[in-house]
Amino acid sequence: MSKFYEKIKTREEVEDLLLMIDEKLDGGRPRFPDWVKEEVGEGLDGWEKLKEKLKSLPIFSLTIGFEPTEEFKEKLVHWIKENVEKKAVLDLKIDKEILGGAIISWQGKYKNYSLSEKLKNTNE
Amino acid sequence: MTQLLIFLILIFSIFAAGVVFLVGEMEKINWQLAQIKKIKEKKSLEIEEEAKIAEEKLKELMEKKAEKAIKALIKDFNNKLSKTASKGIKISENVIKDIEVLLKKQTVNLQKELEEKIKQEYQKVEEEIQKAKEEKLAKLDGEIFRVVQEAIKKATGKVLTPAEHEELVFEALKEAKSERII
Repeated sequence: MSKFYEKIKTREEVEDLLLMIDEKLDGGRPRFPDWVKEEVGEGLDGWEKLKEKLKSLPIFSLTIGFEPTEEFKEKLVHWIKENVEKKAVLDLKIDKEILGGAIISWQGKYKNYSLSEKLKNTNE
Repeated sequence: MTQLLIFLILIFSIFAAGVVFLVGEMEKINWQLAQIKKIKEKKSLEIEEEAKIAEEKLKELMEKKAEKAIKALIKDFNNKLSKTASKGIKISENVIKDIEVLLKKQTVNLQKELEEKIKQEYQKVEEEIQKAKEEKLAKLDGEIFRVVQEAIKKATGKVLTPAEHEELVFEALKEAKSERII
């Protein structure tokens, strides 16, 4: 797996990076991690290409019912990149109303695997 | 002188005779005029009488003719009336039949319309009842769901550990994978 796709994990990270690139292109001097510098190489052209690459990354939306630990987030990203798509970035949302389980949205598909949904279905 | 006297007497005599003659003629004429007047009056009366009679006769004749004409008219009218009446009876019978058929038809139609209207009203009421029932059930379901959800929320807050939450998330991911959602 390319180092870039390994390193970029969440939608927040993508958005932060895009802001930093804009800052850089506007003449600013933001501090990028090393793996980003390696990906861009020399010249401003690389930054524009990186911007496009970041914007084209597929987003994996996941809603869960509890506050996750950083370790759990890492586990999730790893699982998604291994089992779904290596280029995918996680967009994690928290909604305690779902009680447990998860709601998944990926490339136009959507399914509710939450406890509340299961409860609703049992009730019906 | 005597001659003159005689002459004068003669002239006078002639004149007197003339006067007498004239008076006589005048009387004669007057008498004749009176006679003529009388005859005229008589004739006039006669004519008047005749005219009266003629008028009466004419009147009588006219009355008779009129009576005859009226009788003829009445007869004709009666004939026509009886003919029309017989036709009218036939027409009336047909009209009555038509009305009967029309009434029957209209009654059937009205009955059908009423039945249809009652059916529609019944369906409407049934639909409204069903809708109200469904709404009430949905409300009740929602209420039950809310209560159970609340209870589970309270319970899971104590019962579900973070590890169990994580496990449920991975189970969901695996299920989605197996269902080819992801």
